[in-house]
Amino acid sequence: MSSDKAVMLQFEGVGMTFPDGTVALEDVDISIGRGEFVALLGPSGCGKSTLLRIASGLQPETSGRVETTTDQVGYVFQDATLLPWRTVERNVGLFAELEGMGKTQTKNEVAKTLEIVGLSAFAGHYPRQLSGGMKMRVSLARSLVLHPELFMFDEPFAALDEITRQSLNDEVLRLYGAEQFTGVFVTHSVAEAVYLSSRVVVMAARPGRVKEVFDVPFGYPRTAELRYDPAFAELTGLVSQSLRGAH
Amino acid sequence: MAAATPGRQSPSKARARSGWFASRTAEIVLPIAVGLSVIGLWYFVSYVVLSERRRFVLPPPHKVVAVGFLDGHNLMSELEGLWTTTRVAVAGLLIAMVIGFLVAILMSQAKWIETSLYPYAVVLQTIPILALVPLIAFALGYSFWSRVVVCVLIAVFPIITNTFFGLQSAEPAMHDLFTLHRADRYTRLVKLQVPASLPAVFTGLRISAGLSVIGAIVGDFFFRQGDPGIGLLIDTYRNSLQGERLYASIILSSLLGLAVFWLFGALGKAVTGSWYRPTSG
Ligand SMILES: Nc1ncnc2c1ncn2[C@@H]1O[C@H](COP(=O)(O)OP(=O)(O)OP(=O)(O)O)[C@@H](O)[C@H]1O
Ligand SMILES: [Mg+2]
Repeated sequence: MSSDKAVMLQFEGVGMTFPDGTVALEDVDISIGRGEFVALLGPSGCGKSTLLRIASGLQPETSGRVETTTDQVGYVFQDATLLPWRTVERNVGLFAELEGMGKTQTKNEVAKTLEIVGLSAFAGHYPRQLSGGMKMRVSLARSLVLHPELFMFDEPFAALDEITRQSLNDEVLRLYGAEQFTGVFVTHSVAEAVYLSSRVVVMAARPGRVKEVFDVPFGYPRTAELRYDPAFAELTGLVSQSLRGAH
Repeated sequence: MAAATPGRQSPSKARARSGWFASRTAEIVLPIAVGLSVIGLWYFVSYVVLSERRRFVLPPPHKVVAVGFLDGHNLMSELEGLWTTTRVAVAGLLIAMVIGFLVAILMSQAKWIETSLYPYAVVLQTIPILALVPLIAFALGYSFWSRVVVCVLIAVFPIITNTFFGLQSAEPAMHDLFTLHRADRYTRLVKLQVPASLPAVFTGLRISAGLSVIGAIVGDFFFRQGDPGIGLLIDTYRNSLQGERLYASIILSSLLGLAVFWLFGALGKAVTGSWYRPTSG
């Protein structure tokens, strides 16, 4: 399905063996087109985080090839990893600051982004004064300020309650619609994977590899009704089955 | 220091748990009660335990106040001694800070520097520096600066270890994000490692400030030339059996230690108080 689109991120026979001998990934082939949203599912330890680290250049692969056509990368972790000594506003401006964006432009972008994620009223708060969900929004906003072309999410909402998680899923979909980034989203929740993505990649462990790929036929924009669609239930069922076989 | 420290609930919870003993009134009443008991015990030892002939070992509190603090001449010489000691302690602490911060930052920048320097930082701590004071006096002479050297030696270790620990305390994920967004070494140090280190730095400073004061006072015992410090006065009063002035000087010395400890506590709070809550319990 990505044949008609420019490729944004491509793994070709990627393998990763750590110095201690752990084979985290073996012969992974995934091609992700510009503007696609791919979810990665798989048992713990199958190398999902490692794959994202390799894609973003934080970790060099030990075999195969990774190609990206952008260096505008956003990265969101499970922990919000905010700087506790900075206010919300200054946390959101951090990456722009690191990348050398001008002061006025940063200020404007930060204000706009806080508006988008609904945190304008908390600009002057410190992270310790925020709820988990709000911290996560700050973490999203921080990357969003730079308008990344490739956005990677490593179980960003795993620590949140279900309601907060669903509302942040809708937030991500909204941002995806507005920003047109390419998304790679790691999660342990099958429903979340199917709800967000245009393709679900199920991985297996020991060694980490691609087990099965599911195309998600639902178009964007998506709304919460999708969660109650029988076709949605059917697909999550299939993916769950595949995931169970991967353990 | 996890980013997700739940700083908001814990204080109120702690208060609810321990009830009256943690209330504001109790925070004032209880220490005062302890203080009064100590004074009572002091009188008891002074008048009941000690015979009149031996009372100079521990003169009663009101005599200490009258002779040691209310006599203008006595008070002046004690304060002058205290001032001399304070100057030595402050100079020693400032130099220890410069050296300590530099060494800690160097150690945080490259593993090989850490590996090369750390053993010496540890050795420095295990040397009984106070026992070396006579040697230092012998080697460096009896000037102001050799007293300062004692303070530096005794105060520098906690600054090195706490600062180094603080600089290492930023989460790996945070470092990854700095890498991803092309931060150079200097930016990483200034925007991530140094701010992350501040709570630990102030912990180290508080310890070192107290140690520097102790170093200066003990140094006074050995450096008998130049302006007499409060430590020398303590020794002199002890030899001449001037119990009242002896205890007044000891009280002044401990007040100096307290002041310094409090100062760095307050400074730390002013700098990190808005975002940092120490996790207790
Ligand atoms: N720095 C490292 N050194 C050695 N082994 C590592 C290192 N990092 C990860 N591994 C190993 O590589 C494998 C894959 O780890 P990874 O974190 O990518 O898994 P994951 O799929 O993200 O798991 P989870 O779902 O629990 O987050 C695991 O077996 C892990 O122990
Ligand atoms: Mg992971």
